[in-house]
Amino acid sequence: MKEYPNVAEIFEQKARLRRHLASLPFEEKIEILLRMQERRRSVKAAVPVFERELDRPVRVDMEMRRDIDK
Amino acid sequence: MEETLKVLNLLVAEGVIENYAIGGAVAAIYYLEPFETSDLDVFVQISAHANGLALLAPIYEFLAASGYEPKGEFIFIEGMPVQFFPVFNPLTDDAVDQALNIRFGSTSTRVMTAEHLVAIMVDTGRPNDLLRINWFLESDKVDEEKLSEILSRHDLNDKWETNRRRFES
Repeated sequence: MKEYPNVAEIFEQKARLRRHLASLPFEEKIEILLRMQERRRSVKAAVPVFERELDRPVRVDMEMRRDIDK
Repeated sequence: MEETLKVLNLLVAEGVIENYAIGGAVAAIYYLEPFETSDLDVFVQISAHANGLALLAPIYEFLAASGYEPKGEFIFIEGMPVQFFPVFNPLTDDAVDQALNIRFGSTSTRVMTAEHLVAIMVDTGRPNDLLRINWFLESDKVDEEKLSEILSRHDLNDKWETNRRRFES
């Protein structure tokens, strides 16, 4: 019989994170909310949020595509 | 956000509204972990006698004169989209009356109690509301005795029982 890993610890970690976030001061929670809104606006506008992080993989992908096109 | 709250307090100080309380998702975030929402819902008590949206006209006029522009159903106050709701039944009126006085930075503001938020969500009953009720019940932020008293006072026991299986895990 196939054995599956126990993921209870993962769910517990998620619950701990939720409790931690809930315990933050209201001002910090609103800061997080504003960042979420900013991220959503960026995604909707198709602008990478983490430009530096996205820059390299995108370029590599384009170089590969050029090679294929040759 | 703090600048937005200062403008809300100004509405009270200038007599445009009698009182207000933050409700909706932002009020829920006061008690729970942050989740995404697009606007700030503000419930207002107004002394003027009018119906529907006309009731909100003095607020929009005051804010427009201060340079804040309405856009769709929102009015942008210091960059924050705000939606005003006049209290529309005894429950929302009660929720504004009994809202908590809190501080945001150095500015005072008012936020609905967790029990009133849950009661309003039971009353409204949209799928999102039922999900959030579950989040509230999982947290330790709801005083069950207070909630039960509010549900009874506003005749919401039947709605609570009907939907109970949806938000109780």
